[in-house]
Amino acid sequence: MEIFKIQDLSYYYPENREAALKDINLSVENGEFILLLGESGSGKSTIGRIFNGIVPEFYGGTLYGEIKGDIGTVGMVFQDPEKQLIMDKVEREIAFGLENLGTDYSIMRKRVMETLSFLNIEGIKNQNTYELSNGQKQKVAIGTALAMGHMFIVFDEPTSQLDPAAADEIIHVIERLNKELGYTIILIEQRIDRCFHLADRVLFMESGKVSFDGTPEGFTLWSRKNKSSFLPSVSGFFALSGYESLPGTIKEGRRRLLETTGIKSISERKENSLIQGSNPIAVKLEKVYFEYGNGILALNNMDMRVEKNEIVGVIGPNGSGKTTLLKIISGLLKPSSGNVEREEKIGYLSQNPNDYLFNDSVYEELKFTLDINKIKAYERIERVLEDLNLIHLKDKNPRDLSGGEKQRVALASILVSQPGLILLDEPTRGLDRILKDALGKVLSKLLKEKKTIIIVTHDIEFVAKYCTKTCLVYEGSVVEMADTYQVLTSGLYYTTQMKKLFHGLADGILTIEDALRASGKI
Amino acid sequence: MRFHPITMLSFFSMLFIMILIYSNPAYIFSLLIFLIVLIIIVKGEKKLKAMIRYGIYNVLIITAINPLLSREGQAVIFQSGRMPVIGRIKITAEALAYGANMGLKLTCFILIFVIFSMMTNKDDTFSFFSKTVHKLTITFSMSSNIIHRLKIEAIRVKEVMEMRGVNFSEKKLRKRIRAYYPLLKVIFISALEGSVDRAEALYSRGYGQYKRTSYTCMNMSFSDYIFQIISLMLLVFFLTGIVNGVGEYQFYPYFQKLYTSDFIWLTVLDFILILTLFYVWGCKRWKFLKYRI
Repeated sequence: MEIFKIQDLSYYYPENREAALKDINLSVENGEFILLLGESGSGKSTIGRIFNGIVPEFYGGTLYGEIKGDIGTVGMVFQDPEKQLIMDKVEREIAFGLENLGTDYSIMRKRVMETLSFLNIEGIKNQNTYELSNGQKQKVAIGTALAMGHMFIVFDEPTSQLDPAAADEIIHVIERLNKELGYTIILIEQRIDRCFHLADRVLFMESGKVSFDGTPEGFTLWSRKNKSSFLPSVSGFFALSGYESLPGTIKEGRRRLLETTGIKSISERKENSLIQGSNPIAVKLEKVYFEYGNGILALNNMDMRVEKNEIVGVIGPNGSGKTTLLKIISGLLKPSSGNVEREEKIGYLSQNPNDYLFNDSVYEELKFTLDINKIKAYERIERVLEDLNLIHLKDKNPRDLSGGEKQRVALASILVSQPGLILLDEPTRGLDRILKDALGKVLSKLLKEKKTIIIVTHDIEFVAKYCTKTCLVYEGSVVEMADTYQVLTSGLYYTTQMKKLFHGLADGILTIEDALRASGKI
Repeated sequence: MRFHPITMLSFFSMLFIMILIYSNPAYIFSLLIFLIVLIIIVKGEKKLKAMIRYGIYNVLIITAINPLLSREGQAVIFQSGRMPVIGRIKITAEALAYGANMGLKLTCFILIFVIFSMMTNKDDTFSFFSKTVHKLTITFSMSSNIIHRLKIEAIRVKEVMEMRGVNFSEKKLRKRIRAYYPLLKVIFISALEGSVDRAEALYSRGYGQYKRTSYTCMNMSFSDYIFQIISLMLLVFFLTGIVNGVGEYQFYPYFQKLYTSDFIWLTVLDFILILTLFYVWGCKRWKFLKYRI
C-alpha cells in the first residue's frame, strides 16, 4: 500500500537560487526498507526531511510540486546523537515526544516501558543522557521516535558518528524495526556494506535528482554501468570481475567463489621503498603506563616503535587506549610512568574539524598557525592550499565549506607549520567513499614528502588501502604491530571485507585489487 | 529521594527568605549547619566538599574586601596613613565580622541550590513547570544541559589549540586573554550551530505544537504533606519572629549585645530544623515513610 507519493517536487532553501531538490518523483510503500545513497551535498538529507515536514516548515524556502501522505506520522533520527537529546534522564527523554503530543499518562508509561524493552536499554533508563556512549545516545534517539508511535522513520546517517560495533548494533535495531514491527524505513547511509542487503529498494541521488530508483540488484548493475563507487565491496569486486549478476553479501559472494576455479593465493607483495628496521625512529614508547584520575588504566605497559616515513594505522576496540596513546605521543598527556621519545614537530588532527575553524577565511586560518608559532614564511600557505586542492577556496569562510573540505582545511592548518609527525584521530568519520579516497591520496602524498603519520581509526578498509603498518591495540597494550598485510590478513574481525570474502579460499587478499589479482582478472 | 517540586520549592524558598532577611550570625550559622547536615543525609558529600571549599573562599574574600570598602565600626584593628585616591585604610573588627557574615550567607544560598537539585528530580521539575511556562522551562533545561557539553568541548578545543601552538599559560594577562580568544570563538560558533540542530530535533518531536502532558504523575504524597507542615511551621516562626525583631543584628557602629530572648527564639528555630533533619533521615531509613514519597 502506498503511504507517500511525491510528484514533480523541487525545493529551494531560503536565499538560495540553486534548487536543492529537482523534479523528484517517488512513492513509498508501507513496510518498505529504502536505502538512500548519494555523495555529500546531493540532497539526501533534504529529501529525508521532506517526509516529516521539517523541509520546508522548519527551514523555510520554496517548495514546488505535490506531496501526498501524512507528514505528522513520520519520525526522524539525526546524524549526531549529541544534538538531539533534550532531557537529563534516558526514561524522560523517551517520554519527551509523547509529552509534546499530549499523550495520556497511562499510555505514555506503557509506550516508554515497551520502547525500553524493545531496545534493551532498561538498564540505563535512570542514567544521565550526557553520560552515555554515542551508541547508547543514538539508541535513545531511536527510542524517542519509536515511542511517539511513528510507523515511518527516516534515519539520516545514524551511524556516521559511531564506532563499528555500535554502528552494527544500530543497524540491527533498524532491521528489527522493519522486520519485526513492520516499520517503513528510509535509511540514509554511507556505510553501505552493513546495510545494503537489508534494503528492499535503493534510491541514488546526484545533484538534487534521483538518478536511480529500484532494487538493490538493479542498483549493482546500474552502478557498474555508471562506474559509481557506491557499491558494497563484495558487489564491487564481482562487478569489476565482469560477473553478470552481483551478490551483495559475503555469504552470497563466497557461494559464487566456491563455484569458481583458478583462484590463487597472493604471496609476493610490493615491498616498501625503505628497508624495515633501518630507518630513524619517529616515535618510541617504552613500558608506558597511563592512569586517568578516575583510576582507569588506559595504557598498560605499552611498547611501540614507529620509524620515520611510515603511515601507521592504530586499530582496536573502544576503550582500548587508542586516543590516549595519540595524546601521549602528542604530549597532551604525560605518562604515569615509562619513557616516550618523539619527533619535536608534531601536527595533531582531532576527530572534529570544526574545532580548528574560527577565522573568517581559509587563508586566515592557516596564517593563524604561522603567526602563533612566530613563522613569517607566508608563502607556505598557498603551497599547502594547492597541495590539498583548496586554493580556489582560500577566501571562503571555512565554516561554510562541506565536511570533506572542512577536514582538508583543518589538515592544512596543521601542515602549514611543517610537522614531521602527523597524528590523525578518526579522520574518516562521517566521510563518504569519495572523500575518504581524497584524504587517502593526500596522506600518500605526505608519505612521499618523508612525513610520518599515525592514524587512529575504526576504518579497516582505509587502513588496508593506505597504511604501511598496522598496530592492533587491546586493553592499553599492543597486541600486534607489523606490516599492514601481515596484521590484517591474519585477522578474523579486524580485517577487510575482501579478506572475509576470500577467507579459506585464497591467502594474502585485503583489497579489491588483491582479489582481482587472485582471481586472475588483473 | 523525590519530593514534589512544589513541596521542595516552598520549603527552600522559605529558607532562602530567612537567610536573606536574617542578619544575626547565630541564626545564619544554624541554617548553614542545617544545610550541611541535610546534604550529608542525602549522600551529597562529594558535592558538599567542593561547595565548602568554594564557601570558605567566599567567606575569606568578602571578609577581606568589606573592611576596605566600609570604614564603619569602633574596634579598630589597623589604620594606615593617608594614601593617594583611596585615602586612609581603617580595618575594624565590626567590618570583618560583617563581611564574614555576608560570606556565610552567600555560602548558604549556594548550598540551598545544591540541596534543592538533590532533593528534586530535574526532569520532574521541568515537566511540572513546562505545562504552564514551557518556553521558559525548555530554555532553562537546555541551558543547564549544554553546560556539561560545553565543558567537554572546551577541553577538546583547548587540546587542539595547544597542538597548534597556542600557549594558554602565558604569564601576562593580556597575552593569556588573547590565547583564549580562539578557544572561545570556536566554542561560541559551535554552540550557535548546535542550537539550530537542537531546535530541529525539538521541532521533529512536536515540541510546542500541542498541549503538553507530563510523564510523571506528580501527586502530593503523605511525605509531601508532612514537609508542607514543616514549611508552615517555619513560616509561622518567621512571621511571628519578624514582628518581634528576631534574627536582626547590628554590627555597626559596635557589636550589638545578644539577649536571652534571641537564644530562646534560636532554640525554637533549631528545633524545627532538627525535626526536618530527623524527618528526612527517617524518609531514607523507615519503610513506612520511604515508600510514601
